[in-house]
Amino acid sequence: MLTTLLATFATRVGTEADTAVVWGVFCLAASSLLALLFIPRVRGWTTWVWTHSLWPVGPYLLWFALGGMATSLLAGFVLDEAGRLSYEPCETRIDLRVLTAPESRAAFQHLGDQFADDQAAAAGCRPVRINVFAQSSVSALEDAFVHQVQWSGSTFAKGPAQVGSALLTPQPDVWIPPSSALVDDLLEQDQDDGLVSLGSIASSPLVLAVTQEQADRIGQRTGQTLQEILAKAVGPARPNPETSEMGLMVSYDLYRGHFSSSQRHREARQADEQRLAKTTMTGRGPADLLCAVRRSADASEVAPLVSEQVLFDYAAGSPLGSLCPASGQGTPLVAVYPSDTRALDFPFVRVSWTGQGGNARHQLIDRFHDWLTPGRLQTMGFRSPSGTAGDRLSRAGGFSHQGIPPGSAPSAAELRDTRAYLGQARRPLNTILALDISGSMSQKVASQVTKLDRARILARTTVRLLGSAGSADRVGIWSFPQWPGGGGLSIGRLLDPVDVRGPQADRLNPEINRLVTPNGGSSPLYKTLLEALNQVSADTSRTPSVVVLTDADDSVKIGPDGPSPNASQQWLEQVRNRINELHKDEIYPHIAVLAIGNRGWCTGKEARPLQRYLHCHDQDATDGDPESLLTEVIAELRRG
Amino acid sequence: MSVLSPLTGRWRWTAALAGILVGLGWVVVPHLVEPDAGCGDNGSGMITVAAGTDVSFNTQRRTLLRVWNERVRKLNGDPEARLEEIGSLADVQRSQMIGALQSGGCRYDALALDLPWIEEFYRRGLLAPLRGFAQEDRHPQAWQAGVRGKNTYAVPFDSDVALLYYRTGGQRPQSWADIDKVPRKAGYEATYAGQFASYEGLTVNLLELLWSVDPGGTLESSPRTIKVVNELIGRMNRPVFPAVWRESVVSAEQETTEAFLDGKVLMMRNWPYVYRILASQENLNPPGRPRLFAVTQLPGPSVLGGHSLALARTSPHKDATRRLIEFLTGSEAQQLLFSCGGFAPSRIGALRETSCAQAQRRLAVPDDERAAPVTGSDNLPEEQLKPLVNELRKAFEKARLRPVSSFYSEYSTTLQCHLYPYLRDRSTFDAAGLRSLRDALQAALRGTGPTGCG
Repeated sequence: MLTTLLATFATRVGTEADTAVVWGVFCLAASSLLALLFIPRVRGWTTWVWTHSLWPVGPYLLWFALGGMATSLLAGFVLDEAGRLSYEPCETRIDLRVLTAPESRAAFQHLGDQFADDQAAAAGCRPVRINVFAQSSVSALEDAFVHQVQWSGSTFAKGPAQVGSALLTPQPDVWIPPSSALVDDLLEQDQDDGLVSLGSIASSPLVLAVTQEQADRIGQRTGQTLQEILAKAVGPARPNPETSEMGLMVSYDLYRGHFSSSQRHREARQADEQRLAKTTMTGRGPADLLCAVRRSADASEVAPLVSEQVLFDYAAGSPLGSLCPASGQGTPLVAVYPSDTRALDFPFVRVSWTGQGGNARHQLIDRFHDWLTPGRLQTMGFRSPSGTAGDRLSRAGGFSHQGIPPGSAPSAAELRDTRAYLGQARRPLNTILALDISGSMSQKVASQVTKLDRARILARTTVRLLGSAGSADRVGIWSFPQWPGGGGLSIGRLLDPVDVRGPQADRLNPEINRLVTPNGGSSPLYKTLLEALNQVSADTSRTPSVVVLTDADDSVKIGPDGPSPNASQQWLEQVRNRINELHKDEIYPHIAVLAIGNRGWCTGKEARPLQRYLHCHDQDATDGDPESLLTEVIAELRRG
Repeated sequence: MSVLSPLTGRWRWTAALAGILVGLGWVVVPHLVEPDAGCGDNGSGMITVAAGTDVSFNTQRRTLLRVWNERVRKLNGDPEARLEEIGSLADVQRSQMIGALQSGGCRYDALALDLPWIEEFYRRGLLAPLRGFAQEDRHPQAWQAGVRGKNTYAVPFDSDVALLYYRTGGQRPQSWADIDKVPRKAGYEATYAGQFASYEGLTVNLLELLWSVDPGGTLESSPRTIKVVNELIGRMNRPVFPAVWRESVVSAEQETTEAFLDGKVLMMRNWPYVYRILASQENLNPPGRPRLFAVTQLPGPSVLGGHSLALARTSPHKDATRRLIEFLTGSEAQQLLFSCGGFAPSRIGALRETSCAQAQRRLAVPDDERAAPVTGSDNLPEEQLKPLVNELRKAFEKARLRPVSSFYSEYSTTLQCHLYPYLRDRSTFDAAGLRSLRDALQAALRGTGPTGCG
């Protein structure tokens, strides 16, 4: 209630941005009034000032101010309460858009439905509807928040002109991210006052989810540091820090013991990353990791780092994100609690948009905030903001029922450092994205999408994901055959690898966008691979890698030794020889082939000779979400 | 000395009263006055059309906007228009449109509303009447869905009826019994794919299943509801070659299309725009040979789907937006949406075998748009359009509207939250489940009381 009153008061004094200032004004007004009325010495002093300096208007002003202040405060309280009672819900049904992380979406939608039902039961009508949605990419989300106008997402053109844009997500009225660190970071970057945090509504500690057998090997389930636990754990895995907010928080905790730019600490962080890179388990978010555990026959050698709340969902057999949409049971897991990690603190953030708002909406947002009590959130596996577990968590088995104080969230500066350290800790990639633009890539695969459209989407997403990784990765864009012009066996070196975060990075997407398919043209896949390997291997400070986006049809008639019926085979042999040579020099290039709309290629006879060296993905040309796939591909390239 | 002493009681209270009045005004007035969105223009100076993702073949909605923009640039000086696509899921689109408009914001001028939302947007006072429009040759049901009293609030933009696509080689399926009897075929995973993921598609698919056995029934009151749901679960549960593809419970339109394209299922329920996608695949429509897929009506009535264009009450460009809506719903635009985009037209006159090239010429689509790289199968010859036209005509005659209520969205999500767990977990739906569903759906449609989804 006090928060609501404060927000009301804040609106009156014209700002919602600086809560401290508002509190100051509020407290000053209230205490001045009380002092004036009840402390004789203050009254005497005030009298002197008013009568001597402002006479003859001073006394009038004093009475005027007294009346004004008293009424404002009283009316503020009364209206606030009256607003709760006399709000006309049946006439003003409001839809609230709530944005959260993918792993929390189901829990908050459930709570939103409960809130709507509670309001309906009290009002005799349905005054509110809560729509909870998620955005899986923390980098896309941050970009959108920092530049509100860019919330409109990617633009599209028809002919030479832009005719519209695709919205990133609905514009949220409320944002519930896993950690207030993200909000603080945005508020520091953003001069806009569109975000107002109403504080933490829940907490959930980070835990290592392991089988009982592995927990026994690790030893005590509480009291050990994260580093101690990881040293004993088999197969530790973390949600992808480039896309998942939780993955970023885990990285912060991982690095916290060596949080400086000294050589010793840098090496320690690299060792941590190498340990995590060994696991075969990858996933964009924590729910994806646990979904993989649920699906696997043997969970004894995996140890995902996730929030206790997501592990609670796993234990309860609840659906786990889009990859495990149905209920199901997996191998029972227990939580091992590191003693030095900061819990996620789930701030409730009110978001304002230009041209949208209104008192009723604000009131309802506040009411939803007040309704999300620790008791209700505990039913979904969260802890209270102070770290107290609810009954369901305590009874679920495998969890600690003791209080776990969340600790303070990392600061915005620490979060930025974490991102920078993440980039430094991993060996950067030197990558060529080779796009097949042969005639077969113009084939439409669904609706308006050609295979080349799909390749372009995948290439742009790769550039974006690498750009947000904070590493010193380099990326180049090639086409095969060459474009424009060319044909035959020529390869288009549109842009040799450039620093993905450097000044030339702006050239990457335009190069991808300008590619079109020529009429006909061969598809010298293996020759391109050979030349790309030579190019990327030259930089010994980075991991050489090639990502080929193709419908995987090597259709050349000229081999390295001239015209040949087995031209493709000859080029393939050259590729293998070159890889073996590089291995002798202890250079291990990584190749990923995304076979667009060509199911079965990766397991077929063309790919078999390269299987040892290849991360191959048969890719649905019509798949709507490239990020998941590329997150996995990039993790594979980094892991080797 | 008291602070109050310099004044007499009368003046003292006069000053205090003035303070009270000002203080009261300071607090109360902003509570009474909703803030003005203050958007004389929505920022861009353009007309903004809010819609779902353009799934028409070769994005013909976007083509229409481009044609409009070229016209106004040359001719009348109306503002140009832009499309804002709000995702592919209906619930997400509705949520954004309502959220952006209900506090007086003017982000959008025109709204492509799913037919069952019109009542809600109208009741909430978010729409302005569209004067000067007449029914003409528009589908009567779709037209009526946008009329309130003497005013028209939404004009049909595209109309949809579900169709049954099937691989040729077997018998033309005419009932669920026919679908159930399809023998196992090597390489395929199941007979039929529908859209049973937890979104609007689930509501629509379940209504159609019910109407196939109880044409006038509603899910909350029909005695057949239990049987329909359990039969569906039984079809998925069949251990060998299930009649219904199990992945249907996590599938929307796109996923079922892919399953059909990838040869996982022999049949699928889908919208007319998918016909063009299938026809553009050489493995389904080999050049110079008979098509390997066919289309027919569903075993029962289809839900009448589609979108109508409405004018936002807060639009700063009302007159120009009306003219834009007139253009987008006109005969030539409708012909383009059907012939090139695969959307079933909202005008009966446009439901004919006109080629895409002809439709583009009539609308004066810019040359570079027409010269865009196309494969031979983009331009479906008239004889390939004929079966689609025939089936669409028949399907439209039988199609039915979803419940009309300003609480339709609650109705739909309530249905999903009560029935989806049974389908997802393939557990038996019983009388207690039906009672609970009935109470919840009735509460949802009345707009009163809890729906039990929390």
